[in-house]
Amino acid sequence: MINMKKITIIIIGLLILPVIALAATDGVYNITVDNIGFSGGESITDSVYDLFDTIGEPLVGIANSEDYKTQDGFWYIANNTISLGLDSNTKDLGTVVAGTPNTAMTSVTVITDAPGGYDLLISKDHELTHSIDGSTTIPDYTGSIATPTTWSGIGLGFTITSGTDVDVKWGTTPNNNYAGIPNLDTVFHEKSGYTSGDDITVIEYKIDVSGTQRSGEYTNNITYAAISKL
Amino acid sequence: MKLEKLFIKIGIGSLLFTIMTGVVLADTDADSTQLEVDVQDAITLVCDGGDGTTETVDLGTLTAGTPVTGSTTCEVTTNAQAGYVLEVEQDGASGSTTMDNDTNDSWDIADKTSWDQTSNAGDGNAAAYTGTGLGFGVLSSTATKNTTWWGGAAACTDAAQLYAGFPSNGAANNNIMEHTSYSLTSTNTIICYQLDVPATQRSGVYHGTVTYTATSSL
Repeated sequence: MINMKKITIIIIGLLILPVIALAATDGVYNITVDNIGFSGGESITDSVYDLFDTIGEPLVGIANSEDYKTQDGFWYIANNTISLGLDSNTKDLGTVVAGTPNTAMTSVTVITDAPGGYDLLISKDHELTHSIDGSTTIPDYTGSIATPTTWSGIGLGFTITSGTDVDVKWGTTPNNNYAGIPNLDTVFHEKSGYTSGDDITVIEYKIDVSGTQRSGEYTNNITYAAISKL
Repeated sequence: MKLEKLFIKIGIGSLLFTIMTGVVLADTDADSTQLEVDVQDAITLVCDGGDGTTETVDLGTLTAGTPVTGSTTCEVTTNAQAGYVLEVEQDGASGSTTMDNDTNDSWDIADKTSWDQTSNAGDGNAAAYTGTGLGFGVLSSTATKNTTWWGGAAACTDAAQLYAGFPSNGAANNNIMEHTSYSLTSTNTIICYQLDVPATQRSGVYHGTVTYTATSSL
């Protein structure tokens, strides 16, 4: 008899224990969702694998009318979307005279319903390369994303001039700090929390060359990627 | 980035086990932009190590029948991706000849036949030095010496060194050296001068000015 009572108490406790998981939002209000069930909503990890699980959600799915849409249940809220757009697919840094840097800007617009915001990554396909000989290059600026530096010397670099949650390491105009653009996708900006609508980050490129840099046109491609976060 | 996870769902009051997969937790999007930049070409020319002002080449005291020689070294520094050309012309201050007498500018020293790079189907019209008159010729270059134009001599006094007269002011076809590739470092061109006069040449000091021009090629 005593053992049976203990079991009953445990079950009731699990049934009424809310598990705070994610927010639901209509773009104006955020509602922290109680995942009413046995368990779930939090990541279980052994540093190699992550397991997200829920147990016992009674009502799940998508309901919508002409003007409103709800996503009920942990998994429907977690299934977020993200889009990234650039103000232009070409940027002309102009004609650079050795010793006098040129600049140009790119606006990156991200739209996501992810409650945790997003990470922004940057990479290049190769160094700026001479269009005629195909081998002469303009080097990367020596600063790094981990440690951007006050502009000095030559090369192609970038900085963040405006955005949300911009790290202080990038400085503020006109005292920006610059980094070279890596060959592999690298996180250079982290936006936390939910934003309704467009979130715009403005990147400035800067370039200078040595007096011996072969004259002519140089090109490369810069790729930006955004990854949503819970 | 998509993560596929397994999760187990247990309904309240039920012992039914449901396993579901293929849920997207994070999403990603990307876009690219092409960067383009033009590097401006620049060129500097310094003859005889000077600061860009007029340099004097003293051919010394000339005795008719015994030619004298001299030389100029012109250094060019450029980042031009297609190299550069070097030209020369007289300044025209002495009339139709390069050099005239300081006392009377109508007393001239004759020039060799004016240089024309297009003569002889592009082989130029420089020739071995004979007789009298002022001539010039490219002796050597760390850029590109045209040996068809100037011969293969190792010294200004060599018989193989070819000479021509200085082109008149504003003349065309007066390239004396054409370098068609990018050079990381400066290049030097040595130009020889040779002069002899007839015994009837009035004595005295004669001067003349020539101008070298380096033009980058794109």
